[in-house]
Amino acid sequence: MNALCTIPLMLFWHDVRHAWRYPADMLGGAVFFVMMITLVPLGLGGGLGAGLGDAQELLRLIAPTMLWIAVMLACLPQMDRLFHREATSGILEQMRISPAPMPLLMLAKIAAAWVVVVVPLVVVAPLLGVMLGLAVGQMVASTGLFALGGLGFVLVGAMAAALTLGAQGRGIFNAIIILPLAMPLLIFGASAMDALIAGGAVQGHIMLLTALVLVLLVLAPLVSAIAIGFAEE
Amino acid sequence: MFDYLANPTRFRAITAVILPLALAITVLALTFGIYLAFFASPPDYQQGDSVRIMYIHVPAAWMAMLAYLAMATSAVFYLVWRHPLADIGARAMAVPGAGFALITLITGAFWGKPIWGAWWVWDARLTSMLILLFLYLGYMALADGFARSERGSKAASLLLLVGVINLPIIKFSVDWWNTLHQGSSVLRLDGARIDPTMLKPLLVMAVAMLGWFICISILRMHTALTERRIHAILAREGDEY
Repeated sequence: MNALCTIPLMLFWHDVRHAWRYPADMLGGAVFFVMMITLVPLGLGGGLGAGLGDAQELLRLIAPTMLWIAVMLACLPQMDRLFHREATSGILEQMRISPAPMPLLMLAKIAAAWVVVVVPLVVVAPLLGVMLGLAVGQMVASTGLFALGGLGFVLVGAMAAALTLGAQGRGIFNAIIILPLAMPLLIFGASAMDALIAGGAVQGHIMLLTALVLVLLVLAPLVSAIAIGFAEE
Repeated sequence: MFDYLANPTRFRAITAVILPLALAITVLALTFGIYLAFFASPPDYQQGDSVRIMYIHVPAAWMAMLAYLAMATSAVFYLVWRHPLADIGARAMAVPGAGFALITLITGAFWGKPIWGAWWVWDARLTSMLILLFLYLGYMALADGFARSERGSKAASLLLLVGVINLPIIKFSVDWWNTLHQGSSVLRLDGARIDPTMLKPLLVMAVAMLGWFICISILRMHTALTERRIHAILAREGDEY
Protein backbone atom coordinates (compact mmCIF):
# COMPACT_ATOMS: atom_id res chain seq x y z
CA MET A 1 0.00 0.00 0.00
CA ASN A 2 2.82 2.30 0.90
CA ALA A 3 4.57 1.66 -2.39
CA LEU A 4 1.38 2.58 -4.22
CA CYS A 5 1.68 6.14 -2.96
CA THR A 6 5.40 6.65 -2.65
CA ILE A 7 6.51 5.41 -6.08
CA PRO A 8 4.23 7.74 -8.11
CA LEU A 9 5.14 10.60 -5.76
CA MET A 10 8.85 9.87 -6.23
CA LEU A 11 8.40 9.75 -10.00
CA PHE A 12 6.54 13.07 -9.91
CA TRP A 13 9.20 14.65 -7.73
CA HIS A 14 12.00 13.26 -9.90
CA ASP A 15 10.50 14.75 -13.06
CA VAL A 16 9.92 18.17 -11.49
CA ARG A 17 13.43 18.24 -10.03
CA HIS A 18 14.94 17.19 -13.35
CA ALA A 19 13.15 20.04 -15.10
CA TRP A 20 14.34 22.45 -12.41
CA ARG A 21 17.97 21.38 -12.82
CA TYR A 22 17.86 21.46 -16.62
CA PRO A 23 15.52 24.39 -17.19
CA ALA A 24 16.16 24.74 -20.93
CA ASP A 25 13.06 22.73 -21.89
CA MET A 26 10.81 24.47 -19.41
CA LEU A 27 11.96 27.95 -20.42
CA GLY A 28 11.95 26.95 -24.06
CA GLY A 29 8.19 26.44 -23.98
CA ALA A 30 7.59 29.81 -22.32
CA VAL A 31 9.91 31.59 -24.76
CA PHE A 32 8.15 29.92 -27.69
CA PHE A 33 4.83 31.11 -26.26
CA VAL A 34 6.10 34.70 -25.93
CA MET A 35 7.57 34.64 -29.45
CA MET A 36 4.34 33.42 -31.01
CA ILE A 37 2.24 36.11 -29.33
CA THR A 38 4.81 38.79 -30.20
CA LEU A 39 4.62 37.84 -33.86
CA VAL A 40 0.84 38.30 -34.09
CA PRO A 41 0.76 42.13 -33.82
CA LEU A 42 3.79 42.32 -36.10
CA GLY A 43 2.05 40.11 -38.64
CA LEU A 44 -1.11 42.20 -38.47
CA GLY A 45 0.93 45.06 -39.90
CA GLY A 46 0.28 48.81 -40.03
CA GLY A 47 -1.87 50.86 -37.73
CA LEU A 48 -0.87 49.14 -34.51
CA GLY A 49 2.32 51.15 -34.07
CA ALA A 50 0.41 54.36 -34.55
CA GLY A 51 -2.14 53.15 -32.01
CA LEU A 52 -5.03 53.32 -34.48
CA GLY A 53 -8.32 52.19 -33.00
CA ASP A 54 -9.36 49.56 -35.56
CA ALA A 55 -6.14 47.57 -35.42
CA GLN A 56 -6.10 47.65 -31.61
CA GLU A 57 -9.69 46.45 -31.56
CA LEU A 58 -8.94 43.62 -33.98
CA LEU A 59 -6.02 42.50 -31.84
CA ARG A 60 -8.15 42.56 -28.73
CA LEU A 61 -10.84 40.49 -30.47
CA ILE A 62 -8.52 37.70 -31.56
CA ALA A 63 -6.46 37.78 -28.34
CA PRO A 64 -8.24 34.84 -26.59
CA THR A 65 -7.94 32.64 -29.69
CA MET A 66 -4.29 33.52 -30.18
CA LEU A 67 -3.46 32.86 -26.53
CA TRP A 68 -5.17 29.44 -26.60
CA ILE A 69 -3.53 28.37 -29.83
CA ALA A 70 -0.16 29.56 -28.55
CA VAL A 71 -0.59 27.63 -25.28
CA MET A 72 -1.51 24.50 -27.24
CA LEU A 73 1.42 24.80 -29.64
CA ALA A 74 3.87 25.61 -26.84
CA CYS A 75 2.82 22.40 -25.05
CA LEU A 76 3.21 20.13 -28.09
CA PRO A 77 6.99 19.97 -28.63
CA GLN A 78 7.62 19.36 -24.94
CA MET A 79 5.00 16.62 -24.64
CA ASP A 80 6.61 14.96 -27.63
CA ARG A 81 9.61 14.02 -25.48
CA LEU A 82 7.63 12.91 -22.43
CA PHE A 83 8.81 9.29 -22.39
CA HIS A 84 11.99 9.70 -24.38
CA ARG A 85 14.38 9.76 -21.40
CA GLU A 86 12.57 6.81 -19.76
CA ALA A 87 12.77 4.72 -22.92
CA THR A 88 16.49 5.32 -23.51
CA SER A 89 17.73 5.01 -19.92
CA GLY A 90 15.87 1.92 -18.75
CA ILE A 91 13.54 3.79 -16.38
CA LEU A 92 10.61 2.33 -18.33
CA GLU A 93 11.63 -1.22 -17.33
CA GLN A 94 11.87 -0.11 -13.73
CA MET A 95 8.39 1.38 -13.99
CA ARG A 96 7.11 -1.88 -15.42
CA ILE A 97 8.48 -4.08 -12.62
CA SER A 98 7.53 -1.65 -9.86
CA PRO A 99 4.59 -2.67 -7.64
CA ALA A 100 2.66 0.50 -8.52
CA PRO A 101 0.22 0.06 -11.44
CA MET A 102 1.26 1.64 -14.71
CA PRO A 103 -1.76 3.98 -15.08
CA LEU A 104 -0.91 5.52 -11.69
CA LEU A 105 2.68 6.08 -12.80
CA MET A 106 1.37 7.66 -16.00
CA LEU A 107 -0.77 9.97 -13.90
CA ALA A 108 2.33 10.97 -11.94
CA LYS A 109 4.20 11.72 -15.18
CA ILE A 110 1.23 13.74 -16.43
CA ALA A 111 0.99 15.71 -13.18
CA ALA A 112 4.71 16.47 -13.38
CA ALA A 113 4.36 17.51 -17.01
CA TRP A 114 1.56 19.85 -16.01
CA VAL A 115 3.81 21.54 -13.44
CA VAL A 116 6.77 21.71 -15.80
CA VAL A 117 5.04 22.57 -19.09
CA VAL A 118 1.78 24.35 -18.26
CA VAL A 119 2.56 26.35 -15.12
CA PRO A 120 5.23 28.54 -16.79
CA LEU A 121 2.78 29.31 -19.60
CA VAL A 122 0.03 30.14 -17.12
CA VAL A 123 2.38 32.53 -15.35
CA VAL A 124 3.36 34.32 -18.56
CA ALA A 125 -0.15 34.36 -20.12
CA PRO A 126 -1.63 37.32 -18.14
CA LEU A 127 1.30 39.52 -19.13
CA LEU A 128 0.84 38.68 -22.81
CA GLY A 129 -2.92 39.11 -22.58
CA VAL A 130 -2.48 42.61 -21.22
CA MET A 131 -0.06 43.37 -24.04
CA LEU A 132 -2.76 42.28 -26.51
CA GLY A 133 -5.15 44.81 -25.00
CA LEU A 134 -7.14 42.76 -22.48
CA ALA A 135 -7.88 44.10 -19.00
CA VAL A 136 -5.67 42.98 -16.11
CA GLY A 137 -8.62 41.65 -14.12
CA GLN A 138 -9.87 39.56 -17.04
CA MET A 139 -6.45 38.02 -17.59
CA VAL A 140 -6.00 37.15 -13.92
CA ALA A 141 -9.44 35.54 -13.95
CA SER A 142 -8.64 33.47 -17.04
CA THR A 143 -5.46 32.05 -15.47
CA GLY A 144 -7.59 29.26 -14.05
CA LEU A 145 -8.96 28.51 -17.52
CA PHE A 146 -5.45 28.17 -18.93
CA ALA A 147 -4.44 25.91 -16.05
CA LEU A 148 -7.48 23.68 -16.68
CA GLY A 149 -7.19 23.65 -20.49
CA GLY A 150 -3.43 23.14 -20.18
CA LEU A 151 -4.10 20.00 -18.14
CA GLY A 152 -6.27 18.79 -21.02
CA PHE A 153 -3.50 19.47 -23.55
CA VAL A 154 -0.98 17.62 -21.37
CA LEU A 155 -3.35 14.62 -21.08
CA VAL A 156 -3.84 14.46 -24.85
CA GLY A 157 -0.11 14.98 -25.39
CA ALA A 158 0.74 12.12 -23.03
CA MET A 159 -1.52 9.74 -24.98
CA ALA A 160 0.08 10.77 -28.26
CA ALA A 161 3.59 10.51 -26.84
CA ALA A 162 2.93 6.99 -25.55
CA LEU A 163 1.35 5.87 -28.83
CA THR A 164 4.20 7.20 -30.95
CA LEU A 165 7.05 6.09 -28.68
CA GLY A 166 9.74 4.58 -30.89
CA ALA A 167 8.12 5.63 -34.17
CA GLN A 168 10.12 7.12 -37.02
CA GLY A 169 9.50 10.85 -37.37
CA ARG A 170 7.48 11.24 -34.17
CA GLY A 171 7.01 14.99 -34.43
CA ILE A 172 4.70 14.92 -37.44
CA PHE A 173 2.64 12.04 -36.04
CA ASN A 174 2.22 13.76 -32.73
CA ALA A 175 0.83 16.85 -34.42
CA ILE A 176 -1.62 14.89 -36.59
CA ILE A 177 -2.75 12.71 -33.67
CA ILE A 178 -3.05 15.54 -31.16
CA LEU A 179 -4.96 17.98 -33.37
CA PRO A 180 -8.33 16.13 -33.55
CA LEU A 181 -8.17 15.25 -29.85
CA ALA A 182 -7.16 18.71 -28.64
CA MET A 183 -9.58 20.63 -30.84
CA PRO A 184 -12.61 20.42 -28.47
CA LEU A 185 -10.42 21.80 -25.65
CA LEU A 186 -9.48 24.74 -27.83
CA ILE A 187 -13.13 25.41 -28.74
CA PHE A 188 -14.43 25.29 -25.17
CA GLY A 189 -11.43 27.09 -23.69
CA ALA A 190 -11.40 29.96 -26.14
CA SER A 191 -15.18 30.43 -25.97
CA ALA A 192 -15.07 30.41 -22.16
CA MET A 193 -12.50 33.18 -22.30
CA ASP A 194 -14.56 35.08 -24.87
CA ALA A 195 -17.55 34.89 -22.53
CA LEU A 196 -15.39 36.04 -19.63
CA ILE A 197 -14.19 39.07 -21.56
CA ALA A 198 -17.64 39.91 -22.90
CA GLY A 199 -18.97 39.71 -19.36
CA GLY A 200 -21.46 36.95 -20.26
CA ALA A 201 -22.33 33.77 -18.37
CA VAL A 202 -19.07 31.86 -17.98
CA GLN A 203 -20.26 29.03 -15.78
CA GLY A 204 -21.62 26.80 -18.57
CA HIS A 205 -18.40 27.08 -20.60
CA ILE A 206 -16.26 26.27 -17.57
CA MET A 207 -18.41 23.25 -16.74
CA LEU A 208 -18.08 21.90 -20.30
CA LEU A 209 -14.31 22.42 -20.25
CA THR A 210 -14.08 20.72 -16.85
CA ALA A 211 -16.21 17.80 -18.02
CA LEU A 212 -13.95 17.30 -21.02
CA VAL A 213 -10.78 17.43 -18.90
CA LEU A 214 -12.31 14.92 -16.46
CA VAL A 215 -13.07 12.49 -19.31
CA LEU A 216 -9.49 12.84 -20.50
CA LEU A 217 -8.23 12.41 -16.94
CA VAL A 218 -9.80 8.95 -16.85
CA LEU A 219 -8.90 8.02 -20.41
CA ALA A 220 -5.35 9.31 -20.81
CA PRO A 221 -3.52 7.41 -18.02
CA LEU A 222 -5.15 4.13 -19.10
CA VAL A 223 -4.48 4.59 -22.81
CA SER A 224 -0.90 5.77 -22.16
CA ALA A 225 -0.22 2.77 -19.92
CA ILE A 226 -1.53 0.32 -22.54
CA ALA A 227 0.40 2.05 -25.34
CA ILE A 228 3.62 2.03 -23.30
CA GLY A 229 3.06 -1.71 -22.86
CA PHE A 230 2.96 -2.14 -26.64
CA ALA A 231 6.22 -0.23 -27.01
CA GLU A 232 8.12 -2.64 -24.78
CA GLU A 233 6.83 -5.96 -26.06
CA MET B 1 -17.77 -17.60 -35.61
CA PHE B 2 -14.99 -15.05 -35.76
CA ASP B 3 -12.41 -17.71 -35.00
CA TYR B 4 -13.85 -19.62 -37.92
CA LEU B 5 -13.51 -16.62 -40.24
CA ALA B 6 -10.10 -15.61 -38.90
CA ASN B 7 -8.37 -18.43 -40.74
CA PRO B 8 -6.77 -16.72 -43.78
CA THR B 9 -7.35 -19.65 -46.14
CA ARG B 10 -10.99 -19.91 -45.19
CA PHE B 11 -11.30 -16.13 -45.43
CA ARG B 12 -9.95 -16.26 -48.97
CA ALA B 13 -12.38 -19.02 -49.92
CA ILE B 14 -15.42 -17.20 -48.53
CA THR B 15 -14.49 -13.80 -49.92
CA ALA B 16 -13.78 -15.35 -53.30
CA VAL B 17 -17.55 -15.92 -53.44
CA ILE B 18 -18.50 -12.55 -51.91
CA LEU B 19 -16.20 -10.49 -54.12
CA PRO B 20 -17.84 -11.13 -57.54
CA LEU B 21 -21.26 -10.80 -55.90
CA ALA B 22 -20.37 -7.42 -54.39
CA LEU B 23 -18.82 -6.34 -57.67
CA ALA B 24 -22.00 -7.22 -59.58
CA ILE B 25 -24.16 -5.31 -57.08
CA THR B 26 -21.80 -2.32 -57.32
CA VAL B 27 -21.91 -2.18 -61.11
CA LEU B 28 -25.71 -2.59 -61.26
CA ALA B 29 -26.44 -0.11 -58.46
CA LEU B 30 -23.95 2.43 -59.81
CA THR B 31 -25.40 2.31 -63.34
CA PHE B 32 -28.98 2.49 -62.08
CA GLY B 33 -28.09 5.10 -59.44
CA ILE B 34 -26.32 7.40 -61.89
CA TYR B 35 -29.26 7.12 -64.30
CA LEU B 36 -31.70 7.98 -61.49
CA ALA B 37 -29.52 10.76 -60.10
CA PHE B 38 -28.78 12.53 -63.37
CA PHE B 39 -31.84 11.82 -65.54
CA ALA B 40 -34.80 10.41 -63.65
CA SER B 41 -34.87 12.71 -60.62
CA PRO B 42 -36.23 16.27 -60.58
CA PRO B 43 -34.06 19.34 -60.04
CA ASP B 44 -34.54 21.07 -56.69
CA TYR B 45 -36.98 24.00 -56.75
CA GLN B 46 -34.39 26.26 -55.10
CA GLN B 47 -31.04 24.70 -55.92
CA GLY B 48 -31.75 23.61 -59.49
CA ASP B 49 -29.53 20.94 -60.98
CA SER B 50 -26.74 21.46 -58.44
CA VAL B 51 -28.78 19.35 -56.02
CA ARG B 52 -27.58 16.32 -57.99
CA ILE B 53 -24.21 16.65 -56.24
CA MET B 54 -26.06 15.34 -53.20
CA TYR B 55 -26.28 11.84 -54.71
CA ILE B 56 -22.51 11.53 -54.47
CA HIS B 57 -21.89 13.84 -51.52
CA VAL B 58 -24.30 12.33 -48.98
CA PRO B 59 -23.60 8.59 -49.55
CA ALA B 60 -19.85 9.33 -49.47
CA ALA B 61 -20.29 11.07 -46.10
CA TRP B 62 -22.23 8.07 -44.76
CA MET B 63 -19.52 5.73 -46.00
CA ALA B 64 -16.74 7.82 -44.46
CA MET B 65 -18.38 7.46 -41.05
CA LEU B 66 -19.35 3.82 -41.55
CA ALA B 67 -15.82 2.88 -42.60
CA TYR B 68 -14.38 4.48 -39.46
CA LEU B 69 -16.81 2.57 -37.25
CA ALA B 70 -15.99 -0.67 -39.11
CA MET B 71 -12.29 -0.02 -38.56
CA ALA B 72 -12.86 0.62 -34.86
CA THR B 73 -14.80 -2.66 -34.59
CA SER B 74 -11.90 -4.44 -36.26
CA ALA B 75 -9.55 -2.76 -33.80
CA VAL B 76 -11.50 -4.24 -30.88
CA PHE B 77 -11.22 -7.73 -32.40
CA TYR B 78 -7.52 -7.19 -32.99
CA LEU B 79 -6.71 -5.86 -29.52
CA VAL B 80 -8.89 -8.29 -27.54
CA TRP B 81 -8.61 -11.54 -29.52
CA ARG B 82 -5.36 -10.80 -31.38
CA HIS B 83 -6.67 -11.86 -34.78
CA PRO B 84 -4.11 -10.60 -37.34
CA LEU B 85 -6.85 -10.64 -39.97
CA ALA B 86 -8.77 -7.95 -38.05
CA ASP B 87 -5.73 -5.70 -38.28
CA ILE B 88 -5.34 -6.41 -41.99
CA GLY B 89 -9.02 -5.52 -42.36
CA ALA B 90 -8.69 -2.20 -40.52
CA ARG B 91 -5.63 -1.25 -42.58
CA ALA B 92 -7.45 -2.24 -45.78
CA MET B 93 -10.47 -0.08 -44.96
CA ALA B 94 -8.45 3.01 -44.00
CA VAL B 95 -7.56 4.09 -47.54
CA PRO B 96 -11.07 3.86 -49.09
CA GLY B 97 -12.48 5.41 -45.89
CA ALA B 98 -10.14 8.38 -46.16
CA GLY B 99 -11.03 8.54 -49.86
CA PHE B 100 -14.72 8.83 -49.01
CA ALA B 101 -13.99 11.64 -46.55
CA LEU B 102 -12.00 13.43 -49.23
CA ILE B 103 -14.78 12.93 -51.83
CA THR B 104 -17.28 14.34 -49.32
CA LEU B 105 -15.14 17.43 -48.79
CA ILE B 106 -14.47 18.00 -52.50
CA THR B 107 -18.07 17.49 -53.65
CA GLY B 108 -19.14 19.62 -50.68
CA ALA B 109 -16.93 22.42 -51.95
CA PHE B 110 -18.45 22.15 -55.45
CA TRP B 111 -21.91 22.19 -53.92
CA GLY B 112 -21.15 25.01 -51.51
CA LYS B 113 -19.87 27.37 -54.20
CA PRO B 114 -23.23 27.86 -56.03
CA ILE B 115 -25.45 27.50 -52.94
CA TRP B 116 -23.56 29.30 -50.17
CA GLY B 117 -21.32 31.36 -52.48
CA ALA B 118 -18.07 30.00 -51.04
CA TRP B 119 -15.86 26.96 -51.64
CA TRP B 120 -15.36 26.46 -47.97
CA VAL B 121 -17.19 27.74 -44.91
CA TRP B 122 -16.20 26.98 -41.33
CA ASP B 123 -19.40 25.15 -40.63
CA ALA B 124 -19.83 22.41 -38.05
CA ARG B 125 -20.41 19.49 -40.41
CA LEU B 126 -17.66 20.49 -42.84
CA THR B 127 -15.21 20.90 -40.02
CA SER B 128 -16.05 17.58 -38.39
CA MET B 129 -15.62 15.82 -41.76
CA LEU B 130 -12.21 17.50 -42.07
CA ILE B 131 -11.33 16.30 -38.57
CA LEU B 132 -12.48 12.79 -39.56
CA LEU B 133 -10.06 12.95 -42.49
CA PHE B 134 -7.31 13.92 -40.04
CA LEU B 135 -8.25 10.93 -37.86
CA TYR B 136 -7.87 8.66 -40.90
CA LEU B 137 -4.50 10.23 -41.78
CA GLY B 138 -3.32 9.88 -38.17
CA TYR B 139 -4.29 6.21 -38.17
CA MET B 140 -2.47 5.51 -41.45
CA ALA B 141 0.64 7.42 -40.39
CA LEU B 142 0.80 5.62 -37.05
CA ALA B 143 0.11 2.16 -38.49
CA ASP B 144 3.02 2.51 -40.94
CA GLY B 145 5.26 4.55 -38.65
CA PHE B 146 7.19 1.77 -36.94
CA ALA B 147 10.01 -0.50 -38.02
CA ARG B 148 8.05 -3.45 -36.55
CA SER B 149 4.65 -3.44 -38.21
CA GLU B 150 2.99 -5.24 -35.28
CA ARG B 151 3.84 -2.33 -32.98
CA GLY B 152 2.24 0.04 -35.49
CA SER B 153 -0.87 -2.14 -35.70
CA LYS B 154 -1.38 -2.12 -31.94
CA ALA B 155 -0.77 1.59 -31.45
CA ALA B 156 -2.97 2.49 -34.41
CA SER B 157 -5.78 0.19 -33.20
CA LEU B 158 -5.66 1.88 -29.81
CA LEU B 159 -5.80 5.27 -31.54
CA LEU B 160 -8.91 4.14 -33.42
CA LEU B 161 -10.66 3.36 -30.15
CA VAL B 162 -9.66 6.70 -28.63
CA GLY B 163 -10.94 8.31 -31.83
CA VAL B 164 -14.34 6.62 -31.47
CA ILE B 165 -14.68 7.88 -27.90
CA ASN B 166 -13.71 11.32 -29.14
CA LEU B 167 -15.97 11.42 -32.19
CA PRO B 168 -19.15 12.38 -30.25
CA ILE B 169 -17.16 14.98 -28.30
CA ILE B 170 -15.75 16.44 -31.51
CA LYS B 171 -19.22 16.37 -33.08
CA PHE B 172 -20.80 18.07 -30.08
CA SER B 173 -18.11 20.69 -29.67
CA VAL B 174 -18.20 21.60 -33.34
CA ASP B 175 -22.02 21.70 -33.47
CA TRP B 176 -21.99 23.92 -30.46
CA TRP B 177 -19.36 26.09 -32.09
CA ASN B 178 -21.08 26.84 -35.38
CA THR B 179 -23.78 25.50 -37.68
CA LEU B 180 -24.71 26.67 -41.16
CA HIS B 181 -25.12 23.29 -42.86
CA GLN B 182 -28.68 22.01 -43.15
CA GLY B 183 -29.75 19.46 -40.59
CA SER B 184 -30.11 15.77 -41.25
CA SER B 185 -33.08 15.07 -43.51
CA VAL B 186 -32.91 11.30 -44.01
CA LEU B 187 -31.94 9.70 -40.70
CA ARG B 188 -34.59 11.22 -38.45
CA LEU B 189 -36.78 9.74 -35.74
CA ASP B 190 -39.95 11.07 -37.38
CA GLY B 191 -39.15 9.53 -40.78
CA ALA B 192 -37.25 10.86 -43.76
CA ARG B 193 -38.02 14.48 -44.68
CA ILE B 194 -36.96 14.19 -48.29
CA ASP B 195 -39.09 13.58 -51.37
CA PRO B 196 -39.22 9.90 -52.50
CA THR B 197 -38.06 10.87 -56.02
CA MET B 198 -34.83 12.11 -54.44
CA LEU B 199 -34.58 9.50 -51.68
CA LYS B 200 -34.57 6.58 -54.14
CA PRO B 201 -31.46 7.58 -56.14
CA LEU B 202 -29.78 8.53 -52.87
CA LEU B 203 -30.28 5.06 -51.41
CA VAL B 204 -29.30 3.30 -54.66
CA MET B 205 -26.09 5.32 -54.76
CA ALA B 206 -25.45 4.43 -51.11
CA VAL B 207 -25.77 0.72 -51.99
CA ALA B 208 -23.35 1.22 -54.90
CA MET B 209 -20.78 2.91 -52.69
CA LEU B 210 -21.13 0.28 -49.98
CA GLY B 211 -20.61 -2.45 -52.58
CA TRP B 212 -17.57 -0.67 -53.96
CA PHE B 213 -16.17 -0.24 -50.47
CA ILE B 214 -16.59 -3.96 -49.75
CA CYS B 215 -14.89 -4.88 -53.06
CA ILE B 216 -11.91 -2.60 -52.48
CA SER B 217 -11.52 -3.69 -48.86
CA ILE B 218 -11.56 -7.40 -49.74
CA LEU B 219 -9.12 -6.87 -52.61
CA ARG B 220 -6.79 -4.90 -50.36
CA MET B 221 -7.01 -7.63 -47.71
CA HIS B 222 -6.14 -10.30 -50.30
CA THR B 223 -3.16 -8.24 -51.40
CA ALA B 224 -1.98 -7.81 -47.80
CA LEU B 225 -2.34 -11.56 -47.14
CA THR B 226 -0.35 -12.41 -50.27
CA GLU B 227 2.31 -9.89 -49.26
CA ARG B 228 2.63 -11.53 -45.85
CA ARG B 229 2.96 -14.94 -47.42
CA ILE B 230 5.69 -13.74 -49.74
CA HIS B 231 7.55 -12.30 -46.74
CA ALA B 232 7.12 -15.57 -44.86
CA ILE B 233 8.42 -17.62 -47.81
CA LEU B 234 11.38 -15.31 -48.33
CA ALA B 235 12.23 -15.47 -44.61
CA ARG B 236 12.10 -19.27 -44.69
CA GLU B 237 14.35 -19.46 -47.77
CA GLY B 238 16.74 -17.01 -46.13
CA ASP B 239 17.10 -19.46 -43.25
CA GLU B 240 17.99 -22.34 -45.53
CA TYR B 241 20.81 -20.63 -47.36
